[in-house]
Amino acid sequence: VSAQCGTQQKLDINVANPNAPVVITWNHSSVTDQTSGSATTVEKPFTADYEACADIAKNEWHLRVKSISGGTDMHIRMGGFITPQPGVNINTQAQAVSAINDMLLEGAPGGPAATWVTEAAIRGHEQWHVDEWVETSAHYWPIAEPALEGLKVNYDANENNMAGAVAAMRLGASGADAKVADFKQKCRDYWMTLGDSPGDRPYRAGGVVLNGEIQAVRNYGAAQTPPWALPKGSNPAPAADHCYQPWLPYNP
Amino acid sequence: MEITNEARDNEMVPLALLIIIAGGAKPTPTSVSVDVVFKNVSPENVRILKRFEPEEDLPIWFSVHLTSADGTPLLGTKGGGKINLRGTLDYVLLKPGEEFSLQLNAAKFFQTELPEGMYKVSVTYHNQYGHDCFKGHLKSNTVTIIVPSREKRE
Repeated sequence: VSAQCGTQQKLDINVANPNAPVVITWNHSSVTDQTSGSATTVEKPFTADYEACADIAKNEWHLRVKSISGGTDMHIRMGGFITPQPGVNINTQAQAVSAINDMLLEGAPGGPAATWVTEAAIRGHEQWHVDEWVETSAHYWPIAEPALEGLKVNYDANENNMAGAVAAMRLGASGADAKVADFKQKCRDYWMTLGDSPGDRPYRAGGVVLNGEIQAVRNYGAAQTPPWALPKGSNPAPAADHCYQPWLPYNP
Repeated sequence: MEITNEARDNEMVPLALLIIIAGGAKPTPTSVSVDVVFKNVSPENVRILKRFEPEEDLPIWFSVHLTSADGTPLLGTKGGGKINLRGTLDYVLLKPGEEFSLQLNAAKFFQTELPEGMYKVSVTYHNQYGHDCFKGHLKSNTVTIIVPSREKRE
């Protein structure tokens, strides 16, 4: 491009984006209250933001993912549970035996604990689910993103109109919105293959948190005269990997 | 009989999931009443985990899919998530040919009011909890609804 002094030349230059892979950004929230009921970890919808890249020579707009965000909402309900506090609400050997036996159920197949549970233990369980969701999404997203970015529409149908092109590429049973919905559904389908029954990894993740409380009760009992005889044992730790089931097929 | 995803993929599903738009209830942007029917289509008894209350927990067990006429899905569905179940669980026992039904408001599965339009509606049931009961997921039939605008209703 050349211009003489005193003249101006305005040029629109379309430069293809390098199209680097986009990583999911996460927004997790957590609420704890004293209501009764079951703790939950609920996934948020994925929200994708797009732009389009023009290949004018080929008369094509190509979809590009600018960002994608997801997250979870954790709700911990402590109503009905008792947090063990030796010397405060555990003052007899019988109470100590009962509390330890209950806490030893948290990670057991016959569990979980019915009464003696801490907020931290339930959080440990729910955080396991958060990690499951994040790792599941991280597995499937690199498959979903190229499928989204394989979408294209004619350039001349939306000439110099990127927003119109993006809107067009979101529509239809094979459009971007459908692909994002399929991506989320696949993540959810896989998430549900990961065990969440008593004795499974999420309960064990909460159980190991209770081991500290179990030991605190034992220490209190050992300091009594005569020392209390208390149940032995501890909650087993979960295996390290969250996504241990075979991945479900996904061909977006 | 505990039915797993593997069993589902091998077409051994003992249950059929049917949806019907509840009679007399016209869809609105905030209310789409859907009757969901489980039918035992197997020759054996099947148990279903019965944990369909409170209503706000229904997305744990059901996903609702709304698709416009051109196939574009309505996004913004509420998540279902996982639940930390404690205590005694209840079940429904279905003998061969028996049905169990419940009603849900499909509009409540979305974060915002439903936009005006014609939609194809389907429901997926999914469960991984309980003992000696159906586990896995079931996809329903599809029905068509028309959601009017607020102005047209008024």
